[in-house]
Amino acid sequence: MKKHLSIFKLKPLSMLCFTFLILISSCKKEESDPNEQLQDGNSTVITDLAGDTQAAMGSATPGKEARPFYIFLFRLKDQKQIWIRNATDSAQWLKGKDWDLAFTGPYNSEVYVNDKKYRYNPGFEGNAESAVVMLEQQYDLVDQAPSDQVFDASTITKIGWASSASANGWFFYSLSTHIMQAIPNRTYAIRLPDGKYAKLQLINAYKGNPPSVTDLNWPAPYFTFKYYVQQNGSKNLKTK
Amino acid sequence: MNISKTATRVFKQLSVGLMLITFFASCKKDKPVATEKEPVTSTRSLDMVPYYKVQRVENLQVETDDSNPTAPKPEVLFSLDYKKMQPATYGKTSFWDISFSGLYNSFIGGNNGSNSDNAGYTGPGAGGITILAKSFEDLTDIPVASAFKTARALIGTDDMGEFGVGIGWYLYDFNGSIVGDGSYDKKHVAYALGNAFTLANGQKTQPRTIIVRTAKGDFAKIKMISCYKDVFTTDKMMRNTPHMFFTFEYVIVPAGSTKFEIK
Repeated sequence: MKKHLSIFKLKPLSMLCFTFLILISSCKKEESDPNEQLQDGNSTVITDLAGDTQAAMGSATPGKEARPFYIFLFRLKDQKQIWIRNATDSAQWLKGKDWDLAFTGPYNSEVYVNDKKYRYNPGFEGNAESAVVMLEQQYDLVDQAPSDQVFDASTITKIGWASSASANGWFFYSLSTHIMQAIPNRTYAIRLPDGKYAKLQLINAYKGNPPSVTDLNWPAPYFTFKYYVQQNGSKNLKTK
Repeated sequence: MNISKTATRVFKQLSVGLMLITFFASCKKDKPVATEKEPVTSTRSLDMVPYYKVQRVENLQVETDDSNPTAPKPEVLFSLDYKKMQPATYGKTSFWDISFSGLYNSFIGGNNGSNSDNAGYTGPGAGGITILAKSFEDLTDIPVASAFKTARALIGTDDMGEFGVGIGWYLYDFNGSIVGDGSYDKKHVAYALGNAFTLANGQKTQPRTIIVRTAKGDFAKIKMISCYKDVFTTDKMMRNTPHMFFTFEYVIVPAGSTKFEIK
């Protein structure tokens, strides 16, 4: 309110300038910044977080080596990205509680929550327990974490490729075009190792968060995702 | 006394008979296709495979197109009871037990009439599917009913490989370096996990066994062996080996069983 009032107090010329500025910025918003729409004032929005861009599937191309993608870990509370490139990294990080998400597999596209119980989880036999539930609901509309029984009964082991519409993954993948496409209206509720509840939407693996990609050589993986952790321990996940 | 006892007995038998007739008649009305008697004991009609005997299916071929692998191919229905592929028009009958759909028809589901994401939807199928990290031989206990899931395309890629979707029947080796030596021929290979084998890192795989509740409510366990033509060992599975040719073994036990017995 204060801002608006001060605008009206300005002289006509500066008013005109302001109008222009508003016009320009609103144009920009529509044209090229899908990331702005992701902000809701409460969630953390991560844009273009680089995954292992040096690895190549198939054969090596200039600047890339043919090798499996290095895993990276991500800590929700301070957005720390932790790379696992060798046995020392593994020993230092994997079994600890200092990470919440692990981006694994081809193009770092398969995301695990930190969980010691599942054999193929990077945190297997470590110290953290988490659970994840897939909700077929738009992120903004998820106001409440599911019950603990629902978390306990969840059979989701990771958030990765959706082999069919009824699978739990966050993207479809075309083997003919080799392009990933995020599935709309899909949000993941997470029970974190410290018992707090969170929601997560994985939005894109391509640089700049383009709505759709047709070019196989579009820079990837660069992750855009948003999340919210309810700090007071309740199941309230309302962000908008 | 004697006469009235006999009369009662006759009447009782008659009424049971009547009930049975009514039962069959009503069944018939609901399912005009299913004219055969449903097995109520462990006797089976002659064209069905017997209970308790291991069956082997080799090179069950489904259509593929490597140049356009993600274009959806028709879902393929297979009857464990009759040990054969069934036409797609049988979708809403109990004459099939598992279906192959999704990418390369490599995702398997059961036949269930109550799940809208199932080719058997609105039909009589009472089936479902699950998978366990046990060998075919070691898996003897039939899981509880709630373990069986009813959608199509549930069991496929395993988390041991790339693009895993939980526990699955095959390991997908995109880079060719999980199982193979990273060479061109070993890239993009799908390894069935029914039999354990050794990975490139020296570790042995955990075997996988699929468990199916059939359309009619019996139970089957399935060992997936290969999706490559005439090839049943991992060393001979290559990117260009003709696929998809499913080879698997299974055994069916009657509804109500708690164990998989082989007799």
